[in-house]
Amino acid sequence: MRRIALGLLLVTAAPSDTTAAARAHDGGTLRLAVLPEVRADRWGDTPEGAVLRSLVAAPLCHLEAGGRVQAVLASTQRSADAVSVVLRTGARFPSGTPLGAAELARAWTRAIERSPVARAALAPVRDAAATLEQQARGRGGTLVLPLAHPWPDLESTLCHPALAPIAGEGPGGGIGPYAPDGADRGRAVPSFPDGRPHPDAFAVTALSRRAAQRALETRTAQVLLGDGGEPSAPALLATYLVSRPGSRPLVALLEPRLDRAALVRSFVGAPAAAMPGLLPPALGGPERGAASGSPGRGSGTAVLMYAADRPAQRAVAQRLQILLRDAGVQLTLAPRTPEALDRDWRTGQGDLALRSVLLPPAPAAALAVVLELAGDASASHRELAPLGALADAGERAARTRERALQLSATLPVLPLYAEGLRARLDPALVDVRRDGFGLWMLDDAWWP
Amino acid sequence: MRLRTLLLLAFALLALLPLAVTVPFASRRIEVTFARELAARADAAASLASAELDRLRADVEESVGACAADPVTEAIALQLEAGLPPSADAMRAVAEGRPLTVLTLRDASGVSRSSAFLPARVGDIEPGVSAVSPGEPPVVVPVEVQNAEGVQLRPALVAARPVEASHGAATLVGGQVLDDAWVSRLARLTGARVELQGPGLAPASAGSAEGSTVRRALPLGPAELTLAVGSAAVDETRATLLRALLTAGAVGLLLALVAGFLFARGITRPVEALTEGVRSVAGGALDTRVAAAGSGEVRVLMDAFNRMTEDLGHATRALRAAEQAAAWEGVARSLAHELRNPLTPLQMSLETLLAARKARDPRFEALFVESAPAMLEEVERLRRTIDAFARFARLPAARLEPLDLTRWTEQTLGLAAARPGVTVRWEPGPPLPVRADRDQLAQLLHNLVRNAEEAMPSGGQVTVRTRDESGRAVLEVEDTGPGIPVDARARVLEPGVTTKADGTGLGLALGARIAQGHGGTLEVDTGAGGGAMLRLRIPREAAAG
Repeated sequence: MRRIALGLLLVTAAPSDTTAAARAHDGGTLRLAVLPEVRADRWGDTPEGAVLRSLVAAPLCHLEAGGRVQAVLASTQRSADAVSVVLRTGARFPSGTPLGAAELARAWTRAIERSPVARAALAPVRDAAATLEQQARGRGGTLVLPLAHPWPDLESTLCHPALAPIAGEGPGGGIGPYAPDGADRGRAVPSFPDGRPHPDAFAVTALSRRAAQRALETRTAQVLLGDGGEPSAPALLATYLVSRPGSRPLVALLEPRLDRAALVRSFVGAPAAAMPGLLPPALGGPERGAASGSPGRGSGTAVLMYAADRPAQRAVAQRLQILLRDAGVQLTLAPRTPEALDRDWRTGQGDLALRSVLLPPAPAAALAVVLELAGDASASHRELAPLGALADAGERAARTRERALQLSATLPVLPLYAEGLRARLDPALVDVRRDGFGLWMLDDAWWP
Repeated sequence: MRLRTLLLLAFALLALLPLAVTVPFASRRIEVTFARELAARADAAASLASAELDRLRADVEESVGACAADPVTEAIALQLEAGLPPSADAMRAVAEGRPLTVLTLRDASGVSRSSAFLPARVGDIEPGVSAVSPGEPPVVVPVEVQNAEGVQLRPALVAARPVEASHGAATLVGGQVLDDAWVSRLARLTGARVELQGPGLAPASAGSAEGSTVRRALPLGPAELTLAVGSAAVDETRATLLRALLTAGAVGLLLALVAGFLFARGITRPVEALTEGVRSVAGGALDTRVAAAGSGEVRVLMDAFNRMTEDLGHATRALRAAEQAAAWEGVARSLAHELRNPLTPLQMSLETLLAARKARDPRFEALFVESAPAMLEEVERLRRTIDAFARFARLPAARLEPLDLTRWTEQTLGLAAARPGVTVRWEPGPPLPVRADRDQLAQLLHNLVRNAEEAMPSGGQVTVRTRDESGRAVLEVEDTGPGIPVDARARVLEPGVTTKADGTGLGLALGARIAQGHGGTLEVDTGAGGGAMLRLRIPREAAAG
């Protein structure tokens, strides 16, 4: 499709030296410089990690910035009370196994075990775990998802990187425009359902921030992941402080002391925005919070878990430790890998946890993720079903924002900030677009 | 207490006395000397710590000055002046490679704007750090130190320097936290136990100071640095010295005891030999001579003893010969008496018969018939007397064999028949194992019982009993007769001495000889009823098994 479009463009465009020189061509190696924290994000939970990972593990579909869903590995068909995921032929894992409904069901079963976003995305599916288990035993190329309640945002949500089909337990083994060729390289896959990428290969180098910046300046690298970014890009990586029911007093002590803008300015860095509401400003959430009461004092100890390989989370966790110390509470920091953080929190460890999730661009779907973080499945169904019943997207978004404002007082989820994609490009790179999640789609990239 | 023991104790006392006087004095002197040494070590440790703090102040002053002039610091300060907040940890780039653990850029209002080591405090007035004035020498203030477990207040030596490029908008505060690592280094450097503590500060300590300690305290602003030097090494040295003194004392004591033993033995050996000699003489060994080595008065005493025993031996032998002669005289007298008594009637009867025969007295036949039996009786009497003396003279050596004196006496008494009018009462004692010649013992018992019976011609009671007496077996035969006069008791056991009209005087003498042959004695005593009591004492054998 891409090549046909490109061909039409070449045919219809007026011939000139400039367009001739800029004509897309196959070949070359796309060189990426990444910061260590991006390399550490093996599952692609952050925007930068998701961009890097999409090279070898494409999502089922692309959600374009305008909201249109473009099939990559699968298309969807909606019926009255179900959504069918129809897998494209030719999609094969690096091992050669074709992607079927059973493989996708198994991949999603594993995804909902480790990712709150995957759990939230499939929450509207009636008894999602049992459905997936049942279809994991079947054959064929269509996965049927019966809905527990109407949920118009399901198709767009299925494009989330967290639901990219992966074979096996580890983060490798996805289906992407490139196939892994060693730890830091990938080679183009000619049979990729969405077409062969223009470069023949890509190469990744992990560098310090300063070295990565220099690599981009000297054009040793064409893409820098982990530094820079555009303030205007949607910031959908939302970070929340989730708490146990018994730890709500801690949050009450913390909230009056919390200056989200200062937090973003000093500890998170751009592109990021303070997030006073459950939904980030990019999804219509409030940009300014309500005035808090006067800071109180408490006592005791608490444990805060956070993702160890996220520098922003570490800095924010340390700031929260200082703020709670000023409030009389001794906070112990417990760093975890992202997988362990989700698992340990769900098994009841820790009193507080910093959770960063890449929200879907639809407000209702984003609220579903927030409700999943809150950990109350019945509340999730109770809140989402009325929202899903609203067929009009605008009306649904507005209603969702209202509910988010109302729920922010009761949910054990304290919104902190939302981050956008931290990345820079070589200006010579052509045809790099952002999708609806604010992520770059690098498989169309080429350079003169 | 024996002389030898007394001498040994005297020597031991002589050996211990100097030690008892020397050791406390030496110990006190050592203690005083070592206390001075300990105080000197504590002073040296305090001096080292002060020098280390001076060096640290110089390092901090130099490093903070260099950081304030660093282009990166100036760029951050200018950014701050321009109203563009730097990142919370922008100062890390400045701190890299510098010996600082505190480095904060604060604005004119004292608010931390970037920190290399406590970025989480950015946006706040950092406690402690805000109190440091620019240009002053480094001072110790409490600063926050953050780790996963929490936030602690630690003392830190810090200095503040204005960042010139910011025109007063930014001040750099840097220094070193006096943390566990620093305290450990100071402990290694000074060899003392180092403690750093203060109100609200997390305490830090390192090193050890065992035993009694000498302390020196250095005030460090809100904290106090204490250095303690332990006396363990000094105590060990003192203990070693005391051990050496005591070992020398013990060796001296041992040598004194050996010397005392040898000396005491030299003195006491002749005395002991003399004592033993006296005991032997008392036991009858008159030929005892003392042959132990000796000199001086002891030698004279030993020679006198030997001469005395020699003289005593001569005198005893002479006395014994006299006694033997007297005994033989007694025996001869008794024998003559015993022989003369029958001979006189015999002679008179024969002379009467001869005169009647010569005179052709018609009564010759009648006289012959009348006198011949009497003459035969007298001859028989002569023969018995001669037999008795023959038995006394020919008593063979005893053939000793083990027997129970009580049981044997009971059996032997059962065989004997008492004279009419005499009852024999048997009072058995406990089993009395002895070694004895059954025949001689039977003869002795027979003699004693017959002697008792003969002492009671008109009848009475003979009591025979056995008993144990301090390891000796005793056999007593008591009668209810008139008893033996006291003046006759001493001689009644001699041969030929008798209180009876027709006795030979050999029965008890023979009994005394039999008792002597068994290693025992035969004694004459008065019974409870006033009669005679003869008591045989012979050694008792240890009970078998």
